Amino acid sequence: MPILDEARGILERAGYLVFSADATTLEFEDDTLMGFIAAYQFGEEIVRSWRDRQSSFLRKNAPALRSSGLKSWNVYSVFLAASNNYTETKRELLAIEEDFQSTRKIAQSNLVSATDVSRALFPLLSIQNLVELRQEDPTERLRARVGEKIFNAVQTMESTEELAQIFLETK
Amino acid sequence: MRLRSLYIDGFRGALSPVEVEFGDAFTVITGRNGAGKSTICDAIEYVLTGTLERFRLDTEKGEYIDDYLWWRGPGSPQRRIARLTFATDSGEEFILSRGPDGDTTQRGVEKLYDPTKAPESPLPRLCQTSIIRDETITRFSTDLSETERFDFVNRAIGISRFDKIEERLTLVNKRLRDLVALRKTEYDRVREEAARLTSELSQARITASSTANLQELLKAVTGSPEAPTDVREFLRASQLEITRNRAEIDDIERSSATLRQLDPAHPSQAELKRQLELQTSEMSEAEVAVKSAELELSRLAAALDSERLRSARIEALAQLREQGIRAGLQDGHCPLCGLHIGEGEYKAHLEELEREIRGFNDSLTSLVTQHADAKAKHQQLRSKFEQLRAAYQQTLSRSEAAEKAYAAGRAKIRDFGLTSGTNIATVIAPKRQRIELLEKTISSLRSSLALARVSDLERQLSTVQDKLRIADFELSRASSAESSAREFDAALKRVSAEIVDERLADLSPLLSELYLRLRPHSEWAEIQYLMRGDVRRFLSFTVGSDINPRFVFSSGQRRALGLSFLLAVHLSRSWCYLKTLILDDPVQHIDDYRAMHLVEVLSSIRRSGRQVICGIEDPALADLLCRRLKMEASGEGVKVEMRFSLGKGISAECTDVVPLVARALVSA
Repeated sequence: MPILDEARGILERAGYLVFSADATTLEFEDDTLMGFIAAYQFGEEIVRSWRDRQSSFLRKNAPALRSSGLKSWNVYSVFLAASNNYTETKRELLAIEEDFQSTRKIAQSNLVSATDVSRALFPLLSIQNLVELRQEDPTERLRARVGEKIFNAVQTMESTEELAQIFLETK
Repeated sequence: MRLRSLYIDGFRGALSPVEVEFGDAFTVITGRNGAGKSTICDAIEYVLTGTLERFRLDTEKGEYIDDYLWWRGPGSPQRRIARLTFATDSGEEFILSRGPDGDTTQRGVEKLYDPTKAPESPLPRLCQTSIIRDETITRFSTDLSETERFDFVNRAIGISRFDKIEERLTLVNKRLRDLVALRKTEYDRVREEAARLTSELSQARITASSTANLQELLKAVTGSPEAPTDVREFLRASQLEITRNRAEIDDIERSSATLRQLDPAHPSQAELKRQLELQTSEMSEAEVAVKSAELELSRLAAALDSERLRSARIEALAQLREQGIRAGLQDGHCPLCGLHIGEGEYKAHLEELEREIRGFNDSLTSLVTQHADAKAKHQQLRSKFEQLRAAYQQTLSRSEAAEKAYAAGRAKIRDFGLTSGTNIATVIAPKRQRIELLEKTISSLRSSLALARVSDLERQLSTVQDKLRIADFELSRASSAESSAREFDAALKRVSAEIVDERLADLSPLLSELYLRLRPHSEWAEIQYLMRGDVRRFLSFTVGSDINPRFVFSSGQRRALGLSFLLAVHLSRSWCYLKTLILDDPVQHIDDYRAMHLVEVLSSIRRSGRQVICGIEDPALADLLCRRLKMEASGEGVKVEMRFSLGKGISAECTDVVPLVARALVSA
């Protein structure tokens, strides 16, 4: 799965302007956020090169960032890899994310599906699984279970005595 | 729908009017502790519900939150009012206000939610799911039990539509339970009555089976074969007669036996007479012996008296002899009589005196002994005589008493119609026959009554058995109705549970996404919810391999989990038109990394079209929020700085957040 292609599609659908910086890098921007996405085969490559990629981006866009005012605080450096060779890498990627210097970093590996890429990009996206809970009328389901006559009686009768009488008369 | 503005005067810490214009996109409220950030949330909740849920149950020294809703410091506010302005998606505005002085306006409140979908008490539910406070997050992260969590979800997302039905079913179930108990009691009572009647009937049948020829018996007893008019009186009188006859028979038999014992011809009486004769004879002999002893005693007494008369002379002789011995012969002359006497003769005279004195003493001693013996013998004989006389008297008394009793017995026997020589059996036999007749008549009469009783009991038993059939039918009917009502209740609970299961399944991806975004734990990126229980429902969370995060997460991690849950519930409400999320200081106890995640989640919620209002103490974090929350035009984002001044209360300074440069990289 080409990670960059997936990432581009996701960001464009989210309203970002996305453009390729080079074969392994996308740059993106909307009214609030901006940054770049670097794709890798292995997580270990992220550990080795993320600083260089971040510096390269900041250098290249220095004038734009300087002129962007407060928006320059909203830069994301996104490093995505398809797999890991070592379990230790996961911890190293976490350490990268916890480093808040210069840019906010997203460093994720083991991205094998479009869903994985989308999840990695969650900080840039609106809530993806918004749900309007279905409003099925549960009374219909209950009516079907207990029978029309008795259900109507329970639903409408205020008097306990009369309701008890209905239960007594219903087989 | 959005919150447009808030105006408070005199509410909580606001001595002077405080007005906040909310940004359509977001409002970040900042300020130190006590600056009034929470007052904004309190005012929103108060206008909608009239109370503050977080204090609702708190009381101290008899005071409640109602006593502290309004300014209590020095000075007095111009008014006491809290007012909210809402804007619908079409731009229409409406105002809700509430105050203690009748300034309450709630017109338009129904625009906030869909009444056909909303849960019971929609406004408190709206506040519970729209205003997320620090303490709410804490409660959901650590304190809330699984059932409370379930109830919260059940009510908040508007599923429970059965409240009224449940209430009615509870009452009906109780009524039918009581009815079953009542019918069971009635059935048991009738059943016991049937058993008692059956037993009585069985006994009456046994009694009735022993009926003899009653008419003949009655004729023999009363002279008439007709049954007595007063059966009870007849039975009583007959019983009395039987008792009387039995007593008379006893009396006759006892008297007869006594007479036989006292008859002079009876060996015991003859023996008594012979004993009397013997005692008379013995007494006469004893009397003669006593008299003889008296004579001997008199004789010895006289002899003794005579010897005592001689004793003076003997005494004088003894003195003379003593003097003679002491003086001795005086010149051949007796010193006692002066006669001239020889030595030998003198000595012989003295010896003669001695012999006479000794003989007297021996005779006197013998008489005294004989007299004492005779006296003792006399007393002995006298005592024996007295004993014999007493025994005789006793025997005589017995004999006289027997004669008297015999005479009385004979008189009594005569009273019973017996004369001497009559056999008492001839008197007793008719009485015995009468008793037997009466007893047979009574028994027969009772048997006759038992026949009527059998018939009566059979009729009663038939009636009671009919009643028993009816009672059984009614009991079955009530039990069946109770069972139906219980089954209805169970079906209701099952349907409720099914729907909650389905809704939570719908909610699950959202909850998972929020959990993943907040990333409370680096190891366990996924979360599952678990529901169990048919009657009491439990909702719990697990991470990893069925691990309960409550026991492995730190407090900050638990808060992040609680927050993801609360946000999921907030975002999934379909019944609520107000699209405003209000958070009061949600970042406490959260590290920078997770605070960043929270900011990004709020940014994502904002990107989803929600209005976000967030109170934050940390100014840097407030600035970060202002930068990250998306807005498209000036005025859509507002930053509110809250302050508290002594004597003035809280104040708010609202500043529009300037939109960021739309394109930086692209223009470059």
